[in-house]
Amino acid sequence: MGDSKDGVKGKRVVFVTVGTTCFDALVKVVDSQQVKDELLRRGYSNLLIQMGRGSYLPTKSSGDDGSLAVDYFTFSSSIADHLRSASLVISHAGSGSIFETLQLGKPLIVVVNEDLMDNHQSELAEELAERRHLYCARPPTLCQTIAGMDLKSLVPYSPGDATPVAKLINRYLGFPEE
Amino acid sequence: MQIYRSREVGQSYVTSVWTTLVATVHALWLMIKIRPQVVLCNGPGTCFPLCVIAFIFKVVGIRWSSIFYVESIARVKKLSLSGLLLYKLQIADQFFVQWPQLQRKYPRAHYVGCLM
Repeated sequence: MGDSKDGVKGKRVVFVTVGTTCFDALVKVVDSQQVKDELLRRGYSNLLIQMGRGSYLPTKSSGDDGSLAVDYFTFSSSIADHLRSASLVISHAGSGSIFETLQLGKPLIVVVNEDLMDNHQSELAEELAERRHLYCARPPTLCQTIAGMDLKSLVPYSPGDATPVAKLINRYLGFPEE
Repeated sequence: MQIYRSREVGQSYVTSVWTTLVATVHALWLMIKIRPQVVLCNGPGTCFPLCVIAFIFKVVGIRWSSIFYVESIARVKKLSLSGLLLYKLQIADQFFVQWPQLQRKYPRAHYVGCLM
């Protein structure tokens, strides 16, 4: 596999994000030996966790011994760069995180937080999973989702378009059609 | 420009009565000061007092504002509370949804596809 010192060659990063929420269940399961072994098995070398307001601290690892390199941070002003350099994104079900990732064309597993009271966000994740734009999981099923995923089968997401709304509003207000 | 929220996420409904009143008075002041021709909003609760004020103005004959509401992309099968109120009370002049399931459930809504 070659030198993993800088990890530049062949580095495949899994980026985990919980946005501005507290989602310890996801951070914990991603930090579990089971999931880390599965990610290694699927060819990933690095795991970077954005843990938000959570209190569970993952175990950092340099990965020098051939294990998965693990690092984490709480927040950053923009996760765009992290998303761009990731080979796989595992995210909470926030619509911002979901669409930012899909628009960058990155493979995405959305993990729904079962502890949330009003979980309307899971509707979005489930709908997009049904349309095969991403995989949807819960913390207990994340490992088997990673084991069974076929990223080539994911359908690329075409960015949306606000023009229909603008046209309808203009027509209502009486502006001439272009 | 800041406007007051009627209710924070998870705030108790009891204290929400007072904060909604404060937000409504603030909305009234804003509406008179700005006299917008168009109110375009996407929820959540922040927009509700503004829409109500604009609607009351319309009802009493002050036709300053047209009200357009775009439901959140995260709402696939059920409307948000703001959306439901604005739809049922027919406060919005045009009501937009981003998923076809909602348009089937709420036929007066316009389905415009995903905006993101």
